[in-house]
Amino acid sequence: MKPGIIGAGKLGITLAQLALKAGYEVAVSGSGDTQKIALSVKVLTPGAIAMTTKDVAQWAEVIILAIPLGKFRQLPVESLKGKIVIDATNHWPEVDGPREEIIPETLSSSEDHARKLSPKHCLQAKLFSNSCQRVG
Amino acid sequence: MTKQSKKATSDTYLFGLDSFGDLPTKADGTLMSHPDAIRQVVEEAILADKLGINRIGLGEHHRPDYSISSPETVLAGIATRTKNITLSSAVTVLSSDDPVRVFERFATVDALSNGRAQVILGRGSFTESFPLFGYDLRDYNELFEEKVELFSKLLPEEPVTWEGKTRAALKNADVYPKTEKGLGVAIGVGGSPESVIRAARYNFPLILAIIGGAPDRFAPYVELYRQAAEDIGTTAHPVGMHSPGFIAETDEEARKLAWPAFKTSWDRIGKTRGWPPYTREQFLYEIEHGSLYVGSPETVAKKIAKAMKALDARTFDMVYGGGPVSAEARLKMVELYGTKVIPMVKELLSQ
Repeated sequence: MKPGIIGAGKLGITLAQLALKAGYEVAVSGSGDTQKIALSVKVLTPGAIAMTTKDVAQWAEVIILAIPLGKFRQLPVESLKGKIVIDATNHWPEVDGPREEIIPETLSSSEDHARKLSPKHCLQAKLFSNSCQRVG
Repeated sequence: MTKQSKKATSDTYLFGLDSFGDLPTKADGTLMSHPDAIRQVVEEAILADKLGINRIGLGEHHRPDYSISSPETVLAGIATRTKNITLSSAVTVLSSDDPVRVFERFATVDALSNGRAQVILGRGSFTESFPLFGYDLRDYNELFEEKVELFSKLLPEEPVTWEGKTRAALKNADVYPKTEKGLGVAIGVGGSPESVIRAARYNFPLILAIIGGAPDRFAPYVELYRQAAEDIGTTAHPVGMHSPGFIAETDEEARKLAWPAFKTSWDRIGKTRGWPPYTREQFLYEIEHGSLYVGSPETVAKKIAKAMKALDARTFDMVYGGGPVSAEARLKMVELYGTKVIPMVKELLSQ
């Protein structure tokens, strides 16, 4: 299995480190071109491949969304269609803005994403969502 | 060129105390008022200075549980009653502040303290300041990026011309008061790779806020900072770390006093962030393997020395007195840190 992680922040990098440690080949993408995350990937997750999000979507067999919920709209949705997606996003009002501006009232964020991506399977990874925020 | 590294050179180790101005408990178990809590921090800083502790860092929060919303005002109070201790914010939430005013206020503290003021900039992890001062959190990244840029331009203390989206443009604007030796600056980072690289880009010293998990997990971030500085052509300054702790005469007493305080504090914050309640297992795990420096002076000193070695950190700042703790226990903690823990850590690091 080849996991691809969309998001090169605290969560994405940590998951990439764990996947590498477990022996997987891993790809990571940030927003924009790969140059922006090249150094982070090289130093923090040696062995992982820095790609664009589109390339991650094509290359990976399982995709983890490690981005703020509000950034979902910027994803190349077409290239993710039909993939297995693990969704680690959740709504954090202060950062993502009012919920109703991003997700229909009757759906959870992952249900909404699942509809938009129509993936094979969509797992809502609630566990990740709050574990990386820090106090301080 | 700024002189922000004046306070740490590669062959020295520096030790500090950080507080958010948590409300201490009184003898009857109730909480102190905000004014009393602020005066308590001033007393602790005076004691820290007498004991030769290198830095007092005060956080900025806008919540009922913390008394300090304006760190530099408290630092100004401390400035006139202390001699040697560095007076820092920890951190200044620059995104929701004005870089020009931040510079002016800290330059004033620098004058009052004969050159001991230091601004530690950060994005902060609380969000109250944004609606309070009229900023939109959706601009979180842009606000910080732009304001750090402007702040870095102010540091040479020459007229600045700057234009951005988040505040009015400046045209050849000079800012006062001037300082004697430049203002001390560092950047506090919670683990975002982008923030680590930003610190290198602006040639600022890096302080890692490590509030949970094994500290050595952050060693790659130190490497990232150094590599980024090398690539960009800036200086990789000595790296610092900041973690919570509690010191008492014995391990048992420290745990007894720290547990309810940390649990209260964690659960209160957790309520708004969807964290499950803090467990005893979590507490003990963090003491044994993670980032809670709780115990006797010897236990805490060994843990600090180990973490500083693992990260090649040159400064360690302990967040002391987190949660509702008695003023007496807090003062005792400051005393034990200054008289026992720091000498022991220095000894361990020299071996």
